[in-house]
Amino acid sequence: MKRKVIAIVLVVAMIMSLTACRSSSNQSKGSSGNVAPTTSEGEELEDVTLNVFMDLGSTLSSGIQSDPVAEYIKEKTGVTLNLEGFDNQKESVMVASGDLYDVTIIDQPAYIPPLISSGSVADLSDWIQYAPNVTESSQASLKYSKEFLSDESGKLFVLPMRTKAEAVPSARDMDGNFVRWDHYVEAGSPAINSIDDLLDLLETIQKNHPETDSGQKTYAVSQWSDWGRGSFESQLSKYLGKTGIPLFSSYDTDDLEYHDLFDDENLYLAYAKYMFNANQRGILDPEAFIQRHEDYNAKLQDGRVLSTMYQWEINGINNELVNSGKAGFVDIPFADTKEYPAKIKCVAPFGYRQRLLVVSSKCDDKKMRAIMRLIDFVYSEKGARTIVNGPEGITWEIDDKGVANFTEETLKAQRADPTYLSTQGAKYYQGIIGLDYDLYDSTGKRFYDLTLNSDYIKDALNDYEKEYCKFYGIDVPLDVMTERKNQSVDNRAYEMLMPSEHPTDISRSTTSIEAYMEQQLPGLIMSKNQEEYDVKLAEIREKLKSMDYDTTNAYYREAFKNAVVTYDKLMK
Amino acid sequence: MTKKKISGREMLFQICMIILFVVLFIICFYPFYYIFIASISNPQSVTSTSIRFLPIQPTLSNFRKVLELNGIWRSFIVSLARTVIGTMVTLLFTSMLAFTLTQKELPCRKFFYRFAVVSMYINAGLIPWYLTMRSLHLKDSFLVYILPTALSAYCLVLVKTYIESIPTALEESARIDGAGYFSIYWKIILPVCMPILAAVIVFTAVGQWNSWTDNLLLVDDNNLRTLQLTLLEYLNRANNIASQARTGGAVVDGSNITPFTLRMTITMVVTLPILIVYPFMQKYFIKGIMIGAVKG
Repeated sequence: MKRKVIAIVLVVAMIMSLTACRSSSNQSKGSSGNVAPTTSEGEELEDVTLNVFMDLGSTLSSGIQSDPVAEYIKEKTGVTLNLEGFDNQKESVMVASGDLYDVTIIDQPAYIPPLISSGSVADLSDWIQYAPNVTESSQASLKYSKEFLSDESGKLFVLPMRTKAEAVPSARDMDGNFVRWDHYVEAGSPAINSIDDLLDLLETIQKNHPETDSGQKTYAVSQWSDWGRGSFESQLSKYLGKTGIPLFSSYDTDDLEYHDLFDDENLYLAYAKYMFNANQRGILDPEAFIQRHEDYNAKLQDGRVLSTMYQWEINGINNELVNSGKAGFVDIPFADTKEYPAKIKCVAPFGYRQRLLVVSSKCDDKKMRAIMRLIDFVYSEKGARTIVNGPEGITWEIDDKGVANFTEETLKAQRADPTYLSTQGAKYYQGIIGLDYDLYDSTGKRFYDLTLNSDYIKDALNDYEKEYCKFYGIDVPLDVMTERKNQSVDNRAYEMLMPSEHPTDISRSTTSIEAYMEQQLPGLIMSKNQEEYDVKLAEIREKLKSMDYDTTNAYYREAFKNAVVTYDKLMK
Repeated sequence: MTKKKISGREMLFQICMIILFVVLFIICFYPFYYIFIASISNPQSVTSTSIRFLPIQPTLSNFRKVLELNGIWRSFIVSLARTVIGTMVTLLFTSMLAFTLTQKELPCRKFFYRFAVVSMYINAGLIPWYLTMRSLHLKDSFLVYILPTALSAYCLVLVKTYIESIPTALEESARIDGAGYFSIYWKIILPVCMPILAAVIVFTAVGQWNSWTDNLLLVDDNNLRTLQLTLLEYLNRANNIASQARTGGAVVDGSNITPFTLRMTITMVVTLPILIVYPFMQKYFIKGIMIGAVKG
């Protein structure tokens, strides 16, 4: 017995010591700083496995990747991708400890200065010459990075991703007034000339469909409460042409006028008024401000919510509706008048705040060369096209006129199985794409995401989409937006130029004011009548004054003004 | 034999208690039952609100799908290994220290004991913990699942209290017979402490089985990935479409994903092993709680 116990203990000890010794075999020495070319003509690519920390989306798993796109990336760059999924807690630990992956996508600009001062991120100033596609497609973002993301060193430590240098119609993930097309037709296809008209339409739809097929109560308007400030802005922001910024302020995208909470033109107050009126009409879901987004989404899928604001939310639902012989959700536009300068185009010359690529300073030259090859690829047109459409030669090819198109086999396969492109790795690696998803290619007329182009969409239109296009006299649904006279551009650069770190007193008051507004807006919306609404709004404004709102608001008003001025300077 | 007559008032009390406990039972049991019937329902037909008391079109396809997910079985083995080895190590070290701290000859034993107990209430936080683990070379090592939990302050309190309740005569007679400290611990104290050690096993095994943050923060090697983290990743992938909109992340068509049934099935897969073990260990578990409550 005694021997048995000793034997077991020894075996366990052996296993432990073996596993303890296996940890640091892949540690690399620090980059020498001598910049060598990534490859020379005819030279074979070095095979390198890179550890990448990024958003894995809903399709990727962590670990070594071997799908067709990953294989294509390996063929073109020599890089084998070993991915680790993004996690906020892990990111904060990585920033504090300086333990970065070879390539890390940071989602908060405030994390950059500590990483630079601790020497955890590599200086890419000299290396960037080996990624000519970055300098070609994203020059403004490099300028921005050196000025605002370098901890005042003027060096290039960060590559902002998803850059969109020119204003292009937002063809992916649009906002809007999405209702089912058959419901709209049934309601008499009314023109939407005002917010009241929209509410009339929604009220009619709810009257026509008070219950789901399974007998559950429906609501025309609903919402969720777990997105912070974002829970209170999207329903109207697109058509009103307003963008929300910190402190529950907003600005108009056409004339860049700033609106605070004492201004009725403020996006959040416009939203509150709209939701209040919806509640007065009995079409607002009473659980709107106590449910989480996933509960909202479940209701939408069940048919208990009759309208929504995000296209991505209804893509899957539309497929199911079509499969069951019903019409899907479509965006019902506001009238094409000056009151509704809809945000149709988007420009992001400095990329997105949540997509900041940094390279670990622990990478040796071999890894640095591989990283630059990878970066050059993901910022190239070919790379971006591969990431969203699948590998060249398999799903798409360049024709004799130099235009990219899906192959006949792909079109056939996609018609037979709508998930075909996904099986080829399409859209898996959007977490590391250098160019924004809906960007024109070098022809200047076609999206590099081939599924967004008219020729592809026209062939794939369902019956209800054809009716929708006929009703508005357009070729494809996107045209209902692009052909508007009254439209504006959503410029993401202003958000990037707003300060990411604030003086302590401003940070403190911002947090308390935003928390206060998140608590108060639902109460305001649920007011019994107009009189109570007015009283509550006056009380909120009075309370804000005692929360140092004036000083904090002045800070953000100035910050926004500076962002506009700085943008103009940077873009000259 | 005469039947004891129950007064009307007592009868009413008994009925009220029965109703109360039935309600409590339903409140405790129904969530598990709901998860179970959702996990065995047809994913295309079931939603969070359409299911009440019976599964809809019962099927085991959800479990089949979850168990076919890449890396599940490897992760299961890692979780099983950390649960078994981690529990044994905790048991050994905790009981050894508990015994040592009961020895009056040990100088500063009260200080050592209180020092251990204080760690239950005060800790340095996530980042210092991470830095400590890294400096101990526990990053990307299986030992990170074992060594940091080798000593559990809570279990130390339980075991020490139990050992103190054992008559000292037992130990003294062993000493007269020539037994040393280790012999007394190993041959006399440990066998007597079996009930409390069983409770420690339950506490520690449940904790080890459910742990995943150490894996998330300190282990990148997929071969060392625990079941909890692997399933969490799959669960997040089902939910990601919604959360990506907030982070500006990648969005793909989600028509084939049914996050609800996936979530329910994963919950069942994760809790089932512990649910199976619990009834067998329940009496020890309760005993452990009682000791902690009365004498801790």
